[in-house]
Amino acid sequence: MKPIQFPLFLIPLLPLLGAAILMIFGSRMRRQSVHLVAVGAVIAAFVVGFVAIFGHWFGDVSLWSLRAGWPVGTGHGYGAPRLVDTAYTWIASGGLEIKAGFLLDPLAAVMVLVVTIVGSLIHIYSCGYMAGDRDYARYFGYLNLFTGAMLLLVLADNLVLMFVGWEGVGLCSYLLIGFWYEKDANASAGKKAFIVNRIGDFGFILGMLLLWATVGTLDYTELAAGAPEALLDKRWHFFYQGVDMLSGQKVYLLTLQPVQLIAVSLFIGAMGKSAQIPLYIWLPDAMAGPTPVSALIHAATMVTAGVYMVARLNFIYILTPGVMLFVALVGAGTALYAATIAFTQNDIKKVLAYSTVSQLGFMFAAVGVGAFGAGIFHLATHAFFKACLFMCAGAVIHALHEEQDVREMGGLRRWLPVTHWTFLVSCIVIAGLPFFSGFFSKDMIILGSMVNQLGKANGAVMAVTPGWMKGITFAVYGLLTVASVCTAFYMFRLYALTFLGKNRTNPEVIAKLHTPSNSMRWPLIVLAGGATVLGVLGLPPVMTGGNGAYVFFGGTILAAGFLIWMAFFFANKVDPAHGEDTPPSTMWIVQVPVTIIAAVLVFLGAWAKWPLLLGKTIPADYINTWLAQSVPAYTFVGIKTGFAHQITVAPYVQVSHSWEWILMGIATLGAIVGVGSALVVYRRGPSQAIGSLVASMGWLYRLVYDKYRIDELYDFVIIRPLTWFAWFLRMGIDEFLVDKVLVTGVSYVVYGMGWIGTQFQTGRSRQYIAALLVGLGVMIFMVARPTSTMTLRVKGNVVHVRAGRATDKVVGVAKGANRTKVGVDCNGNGKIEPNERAATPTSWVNCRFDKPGKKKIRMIVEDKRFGTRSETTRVVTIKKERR
Amino acid sequence: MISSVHFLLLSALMFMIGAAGVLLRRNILVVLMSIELMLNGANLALITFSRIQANTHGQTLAFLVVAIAAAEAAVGLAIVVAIFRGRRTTNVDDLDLMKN
Repeated sequence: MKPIQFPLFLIPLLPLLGAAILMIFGSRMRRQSVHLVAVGAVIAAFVVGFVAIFGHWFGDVSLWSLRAGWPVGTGHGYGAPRLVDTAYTWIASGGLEIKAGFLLDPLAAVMVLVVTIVGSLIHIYSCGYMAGDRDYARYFGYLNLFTGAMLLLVLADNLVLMFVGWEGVGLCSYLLIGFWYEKDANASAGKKAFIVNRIGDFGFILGMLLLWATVGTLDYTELAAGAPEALLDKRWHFFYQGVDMLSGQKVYLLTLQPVQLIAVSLFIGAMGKSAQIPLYIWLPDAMAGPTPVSALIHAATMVTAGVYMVARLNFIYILTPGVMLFVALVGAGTALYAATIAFTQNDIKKVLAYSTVSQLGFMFAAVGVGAFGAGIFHLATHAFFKACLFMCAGAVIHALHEEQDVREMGGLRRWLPVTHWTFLVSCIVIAGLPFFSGFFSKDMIILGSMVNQLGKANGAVMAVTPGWMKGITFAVYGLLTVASVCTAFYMFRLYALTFLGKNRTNPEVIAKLHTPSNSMRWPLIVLAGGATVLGVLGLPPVMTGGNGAYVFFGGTILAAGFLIWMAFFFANKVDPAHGEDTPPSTMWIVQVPVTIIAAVLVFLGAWAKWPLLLGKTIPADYINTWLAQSVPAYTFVGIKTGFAHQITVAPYVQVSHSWEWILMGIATLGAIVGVGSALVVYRRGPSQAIGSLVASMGWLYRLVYDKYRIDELYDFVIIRPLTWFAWFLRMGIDEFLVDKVLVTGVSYVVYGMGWIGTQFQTGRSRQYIAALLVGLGVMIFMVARPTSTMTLRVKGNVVHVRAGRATDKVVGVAKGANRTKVGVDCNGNGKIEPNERAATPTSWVNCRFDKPGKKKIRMIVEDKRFGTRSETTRVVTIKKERR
Repeated sequence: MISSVHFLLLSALMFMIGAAGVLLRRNILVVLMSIELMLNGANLALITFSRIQANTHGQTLAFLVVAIAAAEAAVGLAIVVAIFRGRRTTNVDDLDLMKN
């Protein structure tokens, strides 16, 4: 089946147009028209994207309907149903042809929907949040530019165009982090983000170049079709060790396939953009930007570009299990590492920033263990709940007049009810309490990491998974499990410190509290709702049937209900001695619907026979089914026998139901432990107990509080040596070598030589004339001097000798007795025999040698007119004659 | 017997004397006269070559040289007078405006 054409270019173009309008005319536009253009452009992009994906509702062909009739392919990436649009040929240079082409396949569709939906909500929210800012138009111009660049990144059909979007979002990130550039800290946070991203982009570019050099194309479709052979067959050897005695083959210490270098280089790009160890350091600093920016760019969309890129290039990554496991380990390590830092932070946005780093780690762990669908699913749910969390934080910060320290908060649920509820819901989602989307997406990742241990492939050839690979995937599972407990803990710590307990804010601030406007409130509600129900797209197979389900559901509903109840209990239990405020009487109004939503989801999942939309039932793992032709759902990370280092892709992996229940149970238990302990410890805000606990931890606490002092380490290891080196370059190379030696030095040399030259310019004509006469004399001598050159030709044992042309010219004119005489002394007796004389000054003399060996030949030229006699001697080797 | 070589030697001698005069004398008038001597030495050589080669090319050239020498003397003397009016000197070593 052929892909169909659709004007996809409109999707990135509309926000870019909005950006152009706002940046050119924005300063002269009224605020209302500014945000009308900005929000309108993004919503328009959403509408175009929506029509492209679900246009069949309006009687047209769409990605959805195309997909329905698409044959189930085995290849991932190039077999996918897709809408395409080639705008024009962008670069044509030699064999390189880059088209400005767009591609909408199921994977890009998910991204387009996430970017445009979350993007429009954040645009709307920004109208309220930025209402008082004087650079209103500039802000929205950047925001639209960002959305356009992100959509370009997502929709590009080749790596180069993707890189344009990739750099575009990086630029907008820089511009928006430093949006309030009057403050030095903000400007340098922007610079930091930009520079750290450049390091990653260097890897990205290297990867692209290597890919181009190896495969000769950068178009996804062509890459996917032609990649395996080119990427795997070629081998690069390093460190030659010698020849193996037995096999006679050369042995190298290190043998690389291009695919490994390419995958690692591209992943370095992803590390930079998606803030993974060791390039995560820019993201916490990026919180210097306006909070909606943090929500849109540094939580929901841009930072997930790395995950998207790895998922998009899954066909390359699955060729190299080692690199995939490296990706998974980095991801899982980042997940746990960032989560521990989040424990100790007191800045509400910093906690969320580390939480984002941690959640991105989850996504990379997912794509690293080959659960690409799970990674993308978590990306989507994360976009919703983290955007919601950030915007709640924004509402809090806005309300408290730019206060970000949670130690100055507490009990805010009384004043900010909507913010409180949406924040709580998002916290439950991110903590992974059952039946909210975060639970399902995290469960899918965890299942993916255990596929190697527990999975059975359906129909695919089983890979041989070496023990160390199994060990790594198990380590990934362990890290992720611990990280999710930590996530539950620090999120509820943040929730409790902000919204529960007694208020610790300065009463004057509370008195002048900014209540969030409607444009800030509604996006929060929509996002929280989305974060709640999005899980329906990824229900695990066990929840769509089987008797055990009912027991489990009953238990989890009880647990969820109990947790929600506990949250309120701790929140509202009044302690008269401490004067904490009474619970708002409205709490059940929200609690009941939340419980009902959870219950509805449970039942939808349990039977899967209830019509949801348009008479369709909810299938298990819907997101994976939808993505199946773009990315593999689960893969066995292993080595396929007979074809070294190729991962086996299992199109569908069956993990036994009981194991699935057990994994889910562990995850749930972990979440409950995390949430429960956080609520127990922090329900009344910072307490004596915590203070003494922190004091007993001493240096460890301080180390974590200082973010493991990684920034200081980088400063010491990288920045300072670089600064020193730069100082050396400046003082030693530039100021000394270039300025002093080369520039000034050269001018001195020229000046000195000029000075010497001027000394001859005495102005005395008699000296000039003397010099002229001397020169004339030299010239006459040079021309008139009798010279002779010798020309030799060896033929066998005969050597032909004559005087050269110069001789002929100078001496050949005279006649008679004055005629120049040329003789050749062949036999070396010092005399010129008659037969050794040349008939004319330029005729040949033949010397015959009987014996081989080195012979000395002397030519004598006599000129009677000048009375001169010049001799030239050459040595000739006569070879033995061959018979 | 006086041969062409002798003429040439004389011509060379005249040229050398003239050159020596140009180089060694400081009075600008004497320098001009020495130049005349050099020109005449050259003329003699031209005429001698004309005789050796038995054609008139050298003699033609010699007439040309005589004409140029006359012109040179006229212009040169005029310049000398002009210089003398300006600088009150006939010493060539004082005329070093082209220095450095």
